[in-house]
Amino acid sequence: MVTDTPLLSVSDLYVSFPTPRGVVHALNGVSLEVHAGKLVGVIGETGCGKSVTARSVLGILRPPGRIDSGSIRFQGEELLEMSERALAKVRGAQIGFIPQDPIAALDPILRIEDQFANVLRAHRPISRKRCRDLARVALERAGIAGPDRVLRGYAHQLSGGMAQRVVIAIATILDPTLVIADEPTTGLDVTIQRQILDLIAQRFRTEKRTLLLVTHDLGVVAEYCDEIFVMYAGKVVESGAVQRVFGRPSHPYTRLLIESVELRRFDTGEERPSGLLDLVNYARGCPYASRCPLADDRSRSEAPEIRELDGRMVACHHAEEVLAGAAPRS
Amino acid sequence: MPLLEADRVTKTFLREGHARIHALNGVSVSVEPGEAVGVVGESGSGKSTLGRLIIGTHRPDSGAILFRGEDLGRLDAKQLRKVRGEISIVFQEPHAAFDPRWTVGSIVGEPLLIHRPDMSGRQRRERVIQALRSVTLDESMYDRYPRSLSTGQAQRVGIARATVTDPKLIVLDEPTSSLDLSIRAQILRLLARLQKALGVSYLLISHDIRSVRVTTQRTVVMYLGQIMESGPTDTILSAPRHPYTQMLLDSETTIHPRAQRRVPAPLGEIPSPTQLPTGCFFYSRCPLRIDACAAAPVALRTIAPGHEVACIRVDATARGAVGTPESRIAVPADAAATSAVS
Amino acid sequence: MAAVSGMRERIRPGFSRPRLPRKAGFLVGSGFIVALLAISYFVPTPYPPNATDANQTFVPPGAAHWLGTDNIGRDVLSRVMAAARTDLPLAILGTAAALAIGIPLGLVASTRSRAAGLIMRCLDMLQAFPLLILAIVLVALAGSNIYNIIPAIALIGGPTCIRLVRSAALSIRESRFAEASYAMGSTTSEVMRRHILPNVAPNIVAQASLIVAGGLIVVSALSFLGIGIKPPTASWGAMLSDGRDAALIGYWWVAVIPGVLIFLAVLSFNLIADGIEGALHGD
Repeated sequence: MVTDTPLLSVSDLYVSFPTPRGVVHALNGVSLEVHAGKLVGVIGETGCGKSVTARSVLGILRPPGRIDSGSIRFQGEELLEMSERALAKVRGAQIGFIPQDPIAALDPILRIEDQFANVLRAHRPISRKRCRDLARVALERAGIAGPDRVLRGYAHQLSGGMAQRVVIAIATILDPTLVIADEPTTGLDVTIQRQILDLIAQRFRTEKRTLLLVTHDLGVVAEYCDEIFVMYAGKVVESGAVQRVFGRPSHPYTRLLIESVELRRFDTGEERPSGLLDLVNYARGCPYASRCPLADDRSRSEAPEIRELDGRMVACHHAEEVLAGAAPRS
Repeated sequence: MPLLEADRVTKTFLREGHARIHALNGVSVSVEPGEAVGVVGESGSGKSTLGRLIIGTHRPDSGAILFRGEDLGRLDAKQLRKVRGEISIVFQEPHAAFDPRWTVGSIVGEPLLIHRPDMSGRQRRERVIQALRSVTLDESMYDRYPRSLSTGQAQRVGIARATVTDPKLIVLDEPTSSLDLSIRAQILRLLARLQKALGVSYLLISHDIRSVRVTTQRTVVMYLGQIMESGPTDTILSAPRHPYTQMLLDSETTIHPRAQRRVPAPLGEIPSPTQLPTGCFFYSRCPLRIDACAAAPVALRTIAPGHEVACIRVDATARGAVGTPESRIAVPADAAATSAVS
Repeated sequence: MAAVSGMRERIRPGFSRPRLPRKAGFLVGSGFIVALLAISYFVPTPYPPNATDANQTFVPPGAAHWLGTDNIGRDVLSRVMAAARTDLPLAILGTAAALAIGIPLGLVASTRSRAAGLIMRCLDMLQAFPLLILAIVLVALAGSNIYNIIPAIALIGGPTCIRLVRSAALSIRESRFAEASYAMGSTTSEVMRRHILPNVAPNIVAQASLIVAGGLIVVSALSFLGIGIKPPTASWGAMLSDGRDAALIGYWWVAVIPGVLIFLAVLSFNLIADGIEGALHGD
């Protein structure tokens, strides 16, 4: 039965970090929706807020970060109104997390089997032996042959690829409906990356699990995701079905990213390097205006609202122009 | 005579108490004057170690590094210093390679302090500004501090510093790996432009095989401290003949729906460098392996002019050419990309 | 699992403004020391510090003698000011000696030479002793000459200085920008001069302030024990010792005043060191 209610719905989220230099506005009204069973990608570069978004959903935003306003609804419940205890129950059991650096994410002084046990026993009363059995199965399903040796070992004995498989196994062992992966393959060799992503995609599709994948790699999103959200300076600038957004981008930043991956030149203007992205003095108007070749006075004074165009959502005053100028790829 | 030659170099590191790490196992690479060569490989390939040998951080255990025919290991301190002025390096993380207390002007000018004591302060400043302009940075950068620069700007400063003494060879160690996606393309285009303008040689080390496309003429593919394949960059990218290169290219993600064919996932992981396999190093992961592959070490064989492959099964490795679904690397805009592919 | 905020890339560490308490502490501390030195050198003492007056013994603080007089009628304020001219320069000179030995040895100790190993082993041996006792013994043996206190302070402050300089130099030496400099062709001494020293220097300045604080305590301790500084030369430690018995019978100002001065001076140097550290490392 198809339901239209999204599994996860983030609305107008504002997150800021007070620092000695001033308040850093990390998220400035982020809205996104993830429907059940889909593989959704969130893409952007340093400072766009994609990791902050992921961590806000999980409730693991690191202090001094704080959620200023907005809503995060998961399976109909408002996560921001939950107590920390209730949220801890949701984490792991209903929303899993695959972080970036697998070896750093694992506890260095615990055996792997103990780490499984900790996660399992935090949510239900299970014997350690049963934990080990469940862990063994989980590791096998994550593509690790010889799981017993891994279980008795420690994190530092694992290669990057193995460690990430362990992390995936831990993240999915309680059968969460939604898994959030924050740059799960950044830092891994490209051949290992391919293995890990194939594993995730294959299993998630068969198990009908939902994935929110945060990454800076366009190719990863293009090959594995159904939908994409492009972020810049704490806002979603474009979103929609992956092939549509990449095939016919309607935001200049999306176009820039595509061009950068392909090392092809669209007519995006001159090569002057941009300075530091300033998230403290958040200007009025479009956040991309300072880098945008299509920026005009309206861009600088009026922030574009996100709107529907050609089957996707985009926040740009000049979206029609971008759409027209983009070379269609069949 | 090649400008730079690594002649059968080996390098082994000793980890405290643990085993020996065989980082380089007989590598020979040469770079001609004015030529840009890419060195590609994943972690454990030895490419960074090769770079370090060339810039002198380490010395080879056996074999030699020759610059203009002279063995660097045999030069005295004074001669070596002079050579260092002709070989410069661009590091992976731009901010880490700068003294945080120095201004951009001083940073870019340091090589001049070392190698051109004849220059006056004013001449140095002029030369530095010239170098900054060549990387499209404004004169006003001169007095700024690295912490106020974005990574893109900082990497440009690093590149300016590498060109300021008019070196003959620039070693670039993962120059774009720490940069954001949209900056990478800018920097790679800048590097390509600079190379043509200055006629300098490059040794560009990268784990991102796509970054060698616009910037190099020849590419060398390394695995576990050995060269698996070497040849013209376009050939390597569009029609690789070593199973490892093919696996590497197949693993690259692409945003072209056309090129997204289903490839079998690569097998296994790289063996430990503490225990080198006998026979072909790629044996454990190779889809084309036969018993003979594990029997004896495999030498590089020339299969076409300038194209060498270290594989005894190379006759079975031919695939489609540019523009076909087999090629996962995005084709250049000038090629007939959008057409014939269906 | 670890949760690292994605914001870390945006906020680049550097020389940020130290928090208010540290900055205020630095200003207060340095202000106090400067004032103390200025007063003791440029303001004439109300009475000659060594002038005795049998009729004015143990006068409590009041209009004629702002801080009272001691057991033989000497004005406490004048003696305290004069003591500053003795104690502070000794502490500072001793610190200078500690740095003069410590910095070069620390830099050498950061290299991979055999000398480095030798230095560290000697340090280990030296620091196995309680250094204050050692200093006392040495000064007592060398003769109670006021200038012998300087090597004593150097002995106590030196090892810490060497270790600090060594560790700071090591971390710079292993940094990527030092590697870059070597790769450019710099000699070891060029890298030392241009990169290592300037980056280590601020740490040294902070440390120096702490060494002065420690040196002041050594001076006071020695003069308290009657070693080094001979009467009637004024010194806070000696005054403390002289006033010990008097304090028991209620003439508190003779001992407490110099004690408070020692405390404030040492505190000031600590605040200065704190402030410098704060500016170096941000928050």
